[in-house]
Amino acid sequence: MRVVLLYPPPWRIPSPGETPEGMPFGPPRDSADRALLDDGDFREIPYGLLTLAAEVRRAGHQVALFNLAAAPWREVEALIATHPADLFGISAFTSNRRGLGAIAALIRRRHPHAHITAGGPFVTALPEATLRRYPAIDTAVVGEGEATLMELLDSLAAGRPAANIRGLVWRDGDTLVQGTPRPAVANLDSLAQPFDYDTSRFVITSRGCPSKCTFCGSATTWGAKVRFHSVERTLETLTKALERLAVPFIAVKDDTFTANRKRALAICDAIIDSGPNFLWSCDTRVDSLSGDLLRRMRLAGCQMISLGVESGSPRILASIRKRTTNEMVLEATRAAHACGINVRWYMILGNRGETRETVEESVGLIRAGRPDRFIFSPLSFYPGTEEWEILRAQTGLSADIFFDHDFREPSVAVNRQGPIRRLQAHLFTAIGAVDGFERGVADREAVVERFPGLHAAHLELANAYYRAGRFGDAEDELDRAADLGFPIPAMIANQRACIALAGGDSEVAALLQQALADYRHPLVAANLERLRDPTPRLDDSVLAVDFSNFAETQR
Amino acid sequence: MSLLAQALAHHQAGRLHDAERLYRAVLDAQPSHAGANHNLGVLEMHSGRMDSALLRFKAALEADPSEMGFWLTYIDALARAGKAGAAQQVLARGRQVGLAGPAVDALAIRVHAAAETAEPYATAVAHHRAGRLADAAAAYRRAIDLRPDHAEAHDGLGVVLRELGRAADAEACHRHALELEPDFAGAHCNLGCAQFEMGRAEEAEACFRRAVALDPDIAVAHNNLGAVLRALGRGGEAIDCYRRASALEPPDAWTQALAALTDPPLLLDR
Repeated sequence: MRVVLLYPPPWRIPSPGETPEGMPFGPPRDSADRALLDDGDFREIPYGLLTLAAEVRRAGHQVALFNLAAAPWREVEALIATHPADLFGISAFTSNRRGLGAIAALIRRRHPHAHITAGGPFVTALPEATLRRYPAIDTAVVGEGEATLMELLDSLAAGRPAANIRGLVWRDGDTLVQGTPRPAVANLDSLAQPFDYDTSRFVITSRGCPSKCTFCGSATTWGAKVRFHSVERTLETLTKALERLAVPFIAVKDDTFTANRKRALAICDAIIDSGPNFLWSCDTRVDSLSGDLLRRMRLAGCQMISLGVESGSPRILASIRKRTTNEMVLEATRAAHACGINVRWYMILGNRGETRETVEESVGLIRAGRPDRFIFSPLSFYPGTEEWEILRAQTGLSADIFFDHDFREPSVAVNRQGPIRRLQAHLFTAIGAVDGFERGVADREAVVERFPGLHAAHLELANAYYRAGRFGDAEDELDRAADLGFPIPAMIANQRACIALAGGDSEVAALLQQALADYRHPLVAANLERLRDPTPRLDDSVLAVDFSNFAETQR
Repeated sequence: MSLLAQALAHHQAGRLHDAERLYRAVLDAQPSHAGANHNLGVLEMHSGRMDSALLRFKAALEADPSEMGFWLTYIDALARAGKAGAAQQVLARGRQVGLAGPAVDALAIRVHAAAETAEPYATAVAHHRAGRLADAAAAYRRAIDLRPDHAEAHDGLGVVLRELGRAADAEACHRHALELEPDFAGAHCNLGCAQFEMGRAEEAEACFRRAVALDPDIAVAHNNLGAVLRALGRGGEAIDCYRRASALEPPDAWTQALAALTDPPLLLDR
């Protein structure tokens, strides 16, 4: 069978110079919504689609896989026209649900006899609404798609109707029929290896989350129980992923990477003992960390952890079922900082019952924890979450809201850019920082003292020295980082260029060009462009928290 | 040098903040001072505070109706503010007391044009506020057809086009508005928004800085300057901008904003 798997754009993206079309499929009106196109996480192809592609390829089918997250609509039209298939599979989050509808209609027009199936978190939460609103789609896959998709392909190949398949929703005339739920994949290691075929800087080593926070749809997508790849399989995945990446930096995108601390420790130990030399980040929870685990994560190359802190108010934390305390947050952050791991906190603004006092508690927590980065997001109501169900019960809204109103994301921020702007200014002012807190020379020296053989710690100390104007000390630390085998030489060269510029050295451009000799690191390339400015300011980030800096990674 | 003369010197040199401070000092001592009211009104009008400017011009005229310039400024400002009917009334009253000459005749033509423009402009603003962007754009264009020098209409059209995702077209509109009124603080701010959206952060920074220089009291311009500096990785400078934006709001503005965010939970109509 010929299979095309697609990750659709969020809307019909205009080509450069082209007038954007209007609603409902044109770009959203609010520039804040349009910023989705700049979101590095959104632009990365979903890992689940990579797994599906690997599974279908392993079974011998002919597969084409396309990430169209940022593709102008003209290119989408051309691509669909030139890629006939027996089955088109489209994976969508809530954020590209309108693109799902647009591309399904396009496929139906171009390939009237193809089977079109849709899956992913949004479709899993609202399979029937999706099929009702998008008549071009034949079937919807609920939950994990690997086995369901294989069975669907078998049926189509045998000329049988796409019906009576577990985990599938299909049409029977005007009626929608939902198959029995498909059991979760018991052994994740049985799935095909995505990096035998494709490239991504994202890796997922487990499915599910031990917590059931009211704003999150993880349990709807993955089921109630957390399942893990084995340590051996995880090492194989990381190694194969790195073989395809120019910049050895991986984002582990598990819901809670350290949910099984014993497994996380074993993975870290395996990397430390004999694994690849690379840098990585992960998302996790404060209640599944420990000082020892963080120490070994750091030695294994972990540069940043992202923690769902959400609020500093115990009352709010209880109402969203977070099951964490401010003390746990502060202790985990302190322990991570002691290892030199950067810490990012995700915060939610506009929680149920949010008041002046609860906001002030969040501000107080951030001031106390001093995370390297904090991000406030207005509460969104995603299908498949308890928050959506609560809102639905309170207001009588139906799932239609996800398809109406020009597809604006149901969120407390809708039509409230003015209040959001005022709140943001207040928060930044009260916290005393706009995005996070910088750690200085003393902090970085303490980390080097604790981890004298860790290359990344020396690079970070070099950066702290540079920012403090101690250029000679910074150069020494860069030399040590290089001697110890820091795996991204371009970042060292970039620091040298920053020092050269600050010191009035004329070799800045040469240093940056030298850094680009092996591969075109986006941060370094952007700095080379900045040199054209009359008074250039270089990006002196050591390890950019924004992963879009690592977008151009394929060799 | 008198306070008024010092204020005027600052004003002419573009040191608007200092000029405003001294004009206000004159008015504290003599609230009906015609010259100070007039000049402060000019300053406020150019920085987008039209409502306050109109009150100043009215006070100046009431204090000294023998000065033809006060009539002309007030009538012109009323027309610019979309109050063409009021402008026509004041003009008629002026003519009754002897207002005449080529400058008055030229103003009469502009007021007449403004009267014709007033309705489409008001309609455009109403559509815009209601989120009916296509209708707003059409009405702004009608207002511009009737009065091509309508800076506010060019600026408003630019904002609509940006909201429609046409930032490059928006930029052209804001630039047109600024050709007509170089000290239009709001248009500088909106030009910065269009440039920021197109990824030209450094140019946007310059626009926002110009806007806050022209009118230090526009909270949104300080906020935007903070946002662009934040995007440029200059968090230390950004926080100062957010502080200024916050300080310009009433003390309880953020709690009101929070209340607007959480109650009612959703407002999808616009």
